[in-house]
Amino acid sequence: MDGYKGEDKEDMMESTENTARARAYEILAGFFSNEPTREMFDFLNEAISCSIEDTIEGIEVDFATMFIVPGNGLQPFESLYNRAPDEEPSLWGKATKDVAGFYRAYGVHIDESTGILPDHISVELGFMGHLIEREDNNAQRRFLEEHLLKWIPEFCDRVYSKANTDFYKGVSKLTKEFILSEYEAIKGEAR
Amino acid sequence: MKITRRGLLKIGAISTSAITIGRGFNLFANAMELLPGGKEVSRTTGKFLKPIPSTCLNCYARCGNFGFVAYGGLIKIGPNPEHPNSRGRMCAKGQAGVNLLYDPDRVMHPLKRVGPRGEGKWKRITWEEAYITVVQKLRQLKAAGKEDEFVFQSDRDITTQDICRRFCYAYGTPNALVNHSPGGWNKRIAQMLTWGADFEIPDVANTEYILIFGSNPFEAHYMRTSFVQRIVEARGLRTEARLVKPKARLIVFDPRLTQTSGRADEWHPIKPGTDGAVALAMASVIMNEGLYDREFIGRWCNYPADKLARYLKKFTPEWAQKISGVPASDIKRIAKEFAATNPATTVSTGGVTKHQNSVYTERCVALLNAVTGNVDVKGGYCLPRSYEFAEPDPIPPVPQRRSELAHPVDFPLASYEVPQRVIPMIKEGRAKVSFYMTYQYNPAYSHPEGHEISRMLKDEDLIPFHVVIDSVYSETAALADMILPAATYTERLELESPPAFDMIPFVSLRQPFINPLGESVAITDLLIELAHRIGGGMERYFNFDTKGYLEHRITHIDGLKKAGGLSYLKENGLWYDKDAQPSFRTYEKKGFDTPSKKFEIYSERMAKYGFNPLPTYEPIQQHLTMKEDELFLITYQWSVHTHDRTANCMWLSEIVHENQVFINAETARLRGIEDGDMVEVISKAGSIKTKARVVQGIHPNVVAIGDSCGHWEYGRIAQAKAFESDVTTTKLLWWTEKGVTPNPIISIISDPIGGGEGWMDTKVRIKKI
Ligand code: SF4
Repeated sequence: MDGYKGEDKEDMMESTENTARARAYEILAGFFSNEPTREMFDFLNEAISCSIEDTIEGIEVDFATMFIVPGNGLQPFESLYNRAPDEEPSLWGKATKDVAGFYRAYGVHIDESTGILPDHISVELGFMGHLIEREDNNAQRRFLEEHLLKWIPEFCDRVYSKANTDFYKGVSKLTKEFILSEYEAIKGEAR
Repeated sequence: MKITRRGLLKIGAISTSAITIGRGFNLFANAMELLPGGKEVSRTTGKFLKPIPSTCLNCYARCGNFGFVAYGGLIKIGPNPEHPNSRGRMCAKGQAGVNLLYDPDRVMHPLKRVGPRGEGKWKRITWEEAYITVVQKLRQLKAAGKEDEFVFQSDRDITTQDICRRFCYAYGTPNALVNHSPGGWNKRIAQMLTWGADFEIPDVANTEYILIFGSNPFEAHYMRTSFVQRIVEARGLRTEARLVKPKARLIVFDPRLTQTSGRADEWHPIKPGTDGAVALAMASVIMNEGLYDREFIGRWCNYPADKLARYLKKFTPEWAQKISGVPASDIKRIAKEFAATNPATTVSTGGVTKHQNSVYTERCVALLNAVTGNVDVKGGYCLPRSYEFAEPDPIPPVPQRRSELAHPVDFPLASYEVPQRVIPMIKEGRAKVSFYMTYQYNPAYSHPEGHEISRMLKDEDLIPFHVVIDSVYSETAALADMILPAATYTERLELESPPAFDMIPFVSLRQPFINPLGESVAITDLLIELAHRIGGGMERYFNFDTKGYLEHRITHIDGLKKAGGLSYLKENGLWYDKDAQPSFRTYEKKGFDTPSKKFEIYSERMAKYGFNPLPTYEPIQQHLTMKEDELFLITYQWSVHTHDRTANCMWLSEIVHENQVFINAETARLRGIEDGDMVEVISKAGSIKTKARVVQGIHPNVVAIGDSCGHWEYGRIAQAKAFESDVTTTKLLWWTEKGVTPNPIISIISDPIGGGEGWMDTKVRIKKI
């Protein structure tokens, strides 16, 4: 981080850890917002020498089938999953409004011209990354409890069972585990 | 692929910024932007929401509506009380526009097919890639001089057909198959031939007598909410000059006991397709008993009264009784009442215009209004009053190439394409298509013999490239090569001028309540973009953006211009001349818009092509060969659904999601069918299975099945699939039946004059299974 003047070593470590966490959220967000490119493959291979055996086309079709083509039941929007018993399935549902309110309360604004709904899994994960950068532990905990945990683990299970590629099986497993581990970590800290 | 939390954090630590993972459209990169200082917004202010005035388009009535937006989301659509037509009323479909917008199964990104057509494997592509592919294909066709192999077809689109046509003509194809008209083809052609307008506006609010042939305005009429509220008004307490007026009489001819039949003074269960005989017999009584309007016939019709009386003589009430089953005494009595009550008007829609003899029948019904002098008078059968919108210069010329699709030779009077024949005609080799582009058009589901159409759409030799522009994953979209996400009507900017019931024309604006969701694009924006990318001179016809185009379209309306044009409309939603008074008998100024300038009882144009130039009754061929156990199948529309666009709307499908076959109690008894039994309905084209609904209120020789249900794509609500993905395990989607569509068992048969489909001319047998 540019211009960072750490007071002491521990602070410095925590900050590096937080940066890594924030980036991790952003990477997960990226997995659900777009199909990975060749560069991303190479990067993953290099960084942690994970080998991906699926074809790019296989991954692209898997992505579209699960998250884009209507009717397959895995549109990645919180309001379709985290619903009250009497709430009908709809985009821009109650959860969407809640999330939007959350963002607003933290000064985050979604560029309306993108047409992206605030409760898209990528936006939520990205927002979490933002909260980490702000080092607002309480907000992180609340956002995890009120939103991410309410639907993402279960959503990931569904992706896992529906995915045709190893890639998305891996992504869904990773996302779920990461979020659960995050909660464990934060719960410990925010005592 | 294996990454652990540790691994992920390691990647996070070494990557200096979020890695660019996607291509082109990067949702996350665009998604967030920090506001300086971090504005706080309360989540629970409860302050009033500002209504955004706009215009509904969940059907052609185009009522005035308001959208209420909170935190960037449309939370409610309500009626606009200031709207001169709808006056603060709105139907269920209008309110469910929210469902259409936030359809959980909405298409929100451009998609490209991978694998065989119809297999359901797709890849998301960027708009850039979509544009490049489309533009390349269109340029290639143009370079080869084969512009006419590009065919654009849309359905039920009255709003944007002008710009679609402009796009096609500017490109160079005559195949702009976008000419929808409310009431359907047959109505339009009959009306054009007779008095030069597309359809009539019965001034029911001010009438004394409403004579309905095959129309069900309490549930379905092309002017819907605006229309029915005026019938209700005419049937309630009305005053004029401080005197209480008697309520209007309401007489209904319909094979079904509809909501309208049930609220009428008289319901006559008529044999389907025979309304023309009854109307002719009534005209005969009126002419031969001297009850007609001498002045109107003498001055404004092109056929002398005495000749007409002589011609009509053979169409006696007794003759009509034999054909229609309506007692001759009733025909006589109603004819006399209709002639004696002034003003009076007829109403006729689907029951008249969805047969093979529609044009003839519609002309017989129109004739009743002419002989009684009710044409364009207050409380009568009126010409539609609306504004025409201008096209900005330069206007592309109509390509001179002859097109079988746009003007089929076997329908010389149809004046436009015959929509349900387009794909079969391609199959017959009457036109070659290289690039088929469709907008909100779902023939695989909504056309007769839909399963055949599906097969043709799957055939890549027949239709090498098919691009669907839509917001829903329809049965047709499922068979396309590319799907482009379209903005719904709550996200678009458009102008409307529906026919005015107060007889003072008005302009009504449709404006976006919110920005198009996902990557959806409004059709107008899409076509403008395409035109510029195709270029080659085409772009000069699109020297505007959508707003500029609309501004141009209304510059000739002086009053609106003075009031502030588009900005006035954005603020108010609609405009009309506040000082204008309704005027009637408008034909007196310039005559009717027909070759003779008269109301054409006798049509020279029909004579020219060998059709009967006078109003006549033509029996429906299938009826003549009816066997003992055969029944007529008729279709109808549910009040809470459109023909084929609302099935995935939760609020509507919760009300109607299955359609049984309605059958008369006696007919059912003879076949051993009881209410709720599963039955098979069999026609020449195929068979369907559904539950029987045994009722008294239907003609004994008729069975009826509604439109709108029985989708096999279109989303989970349309298919009654519970949302299993739901974490809280609710089962709000409590129903499990999705109903059937009658379309696969209805044969493609057209009215030879109008070209419109004979939806109600199928013979069926029905048996318990
Ligand atoms: S009748 Fe209903 S669907 Fe049609 S325009 Fe009016 S509100 Fe919309």
